[in-house]
Amino acid sequence: MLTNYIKKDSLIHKLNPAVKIFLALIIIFLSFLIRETYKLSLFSALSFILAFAAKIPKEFFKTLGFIMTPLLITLVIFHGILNPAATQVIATFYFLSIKLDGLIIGFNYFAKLLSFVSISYILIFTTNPADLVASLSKLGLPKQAAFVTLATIQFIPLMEEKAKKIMDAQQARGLRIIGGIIQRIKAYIPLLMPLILSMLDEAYERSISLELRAFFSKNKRTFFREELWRKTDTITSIILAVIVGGIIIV
Amino acid sequence: MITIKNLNFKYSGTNNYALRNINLEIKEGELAVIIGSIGSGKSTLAKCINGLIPHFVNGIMSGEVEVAGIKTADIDISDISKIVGMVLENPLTQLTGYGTTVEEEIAFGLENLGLIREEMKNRINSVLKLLDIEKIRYKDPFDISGGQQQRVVLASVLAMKPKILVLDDPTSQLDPSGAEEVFEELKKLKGKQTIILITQKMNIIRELASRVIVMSKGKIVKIGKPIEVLLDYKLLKRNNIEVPAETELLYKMNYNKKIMEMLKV
Repeated sequence: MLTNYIKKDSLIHKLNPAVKIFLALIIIFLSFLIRETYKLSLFSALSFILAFAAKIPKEFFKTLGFIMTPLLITLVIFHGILNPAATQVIATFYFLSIKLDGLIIGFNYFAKLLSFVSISYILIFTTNPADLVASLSKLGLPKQAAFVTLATIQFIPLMEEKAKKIMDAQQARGLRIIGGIIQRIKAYIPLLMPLILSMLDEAYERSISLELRAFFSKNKRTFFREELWRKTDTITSIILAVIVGGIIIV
Repeated sequence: MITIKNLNFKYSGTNNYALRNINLEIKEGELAVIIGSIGSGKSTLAKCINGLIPHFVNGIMSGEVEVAGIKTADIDISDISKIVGMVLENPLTQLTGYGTTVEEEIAFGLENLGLIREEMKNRINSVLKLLDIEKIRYKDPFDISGGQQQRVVLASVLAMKPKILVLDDPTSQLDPSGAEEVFEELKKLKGKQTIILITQKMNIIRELASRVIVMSKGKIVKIGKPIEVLLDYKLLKRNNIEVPAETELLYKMNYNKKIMEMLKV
């Protein structure tokens, strides 16, 4: 499997992709619009509940932690210490002073990011990529754009795999990747060139393969997988709408 | 089925012609094998047959390529894909990853053609049966062996029902057993389908090919029956093509001329 999709049998997985796409879009949109940290946190909490309902809490929190922890640290440090607008000093170490209002701004930004990253992962983890693309194109996204979306999701794991292979090859030729942080960063430089070149090469071959499978045909595309709108989809949509509406109002 | 007249092609940014004055006629149901050293123009010729040249690859082309009576320069590449199917070297870049199962992967091309679901199901069932890969129907295409992946690619191409099948060194990235799997499939298809196979594997030619085309430096240097080419030690040596051990042995024992006379080729 090249995508991040996690196959599980759950209510969230069975949900019509359109419901999940709409939910994700609305929450992403609202994350930018809403300022209150607690409301943003409630959106994240909704995603967390969905992760449990989808039976993927382990994978979900692992990925989220991996991505969000560095952001949390940088945002809080950045705003807590360096935000020039902040004034309420709560602690001082030598010449660095930590400011309370700075920290609050930092946490607010973090809550914004967390809320839309979490819902995006719920969408990606629980939706079969083929269904995702099918739904996106049914919602009016051009098939090329839909495919690019899919290819981007897929390319990351593929790139990781390739990077590992090149790394092994470089290590076999004596490259040291253990040691201090600078040593390690240096070790990644000889990795970049072969990685980028081989990825470009593969992208070219991929585009040929797509041509050969009539991807750019002017025919109207049809879909192999059947997608049904079930009663549960309607019910879930209503429940989710009520929850999201409730978060906005409170 | 395929008619090529006075074909020349030069990739943009290069000085030498990759193809020079190619004239070739391939009949329906034939299995023509193209051999030649690296840079002899085999792959370029294959790209001309399925319209990647001139539609996708930049360069200067002159001459004519006709497939099933239609000039490739005149129609869209997506329309050519219904006539000419192509399998390339690396199965990993040919799997679109669009679906999460083998059957969805096969369906990708059919969806692009805009077929109805019933027709897609029928076609998928029949190619899975033909290539004997029904077992892996619901498997993840990235979770199976290289040989199986290449068979899935072949199945996806065949499902589009092309009149001509072009295989550009389909076994070079596979281990010997994977290569064997792919060649077994080709044996099944022989006679039912016009096939052009580019390969480096000499041992398969005698069994598979109805005709062998030898290329060197962008030109066709010989078209002949498999045995005629395989026993021609000097021709193979001159064009940097791997000489089968038997041929070398017969040549060193001065036997190959006698055998050629006996076979009257």
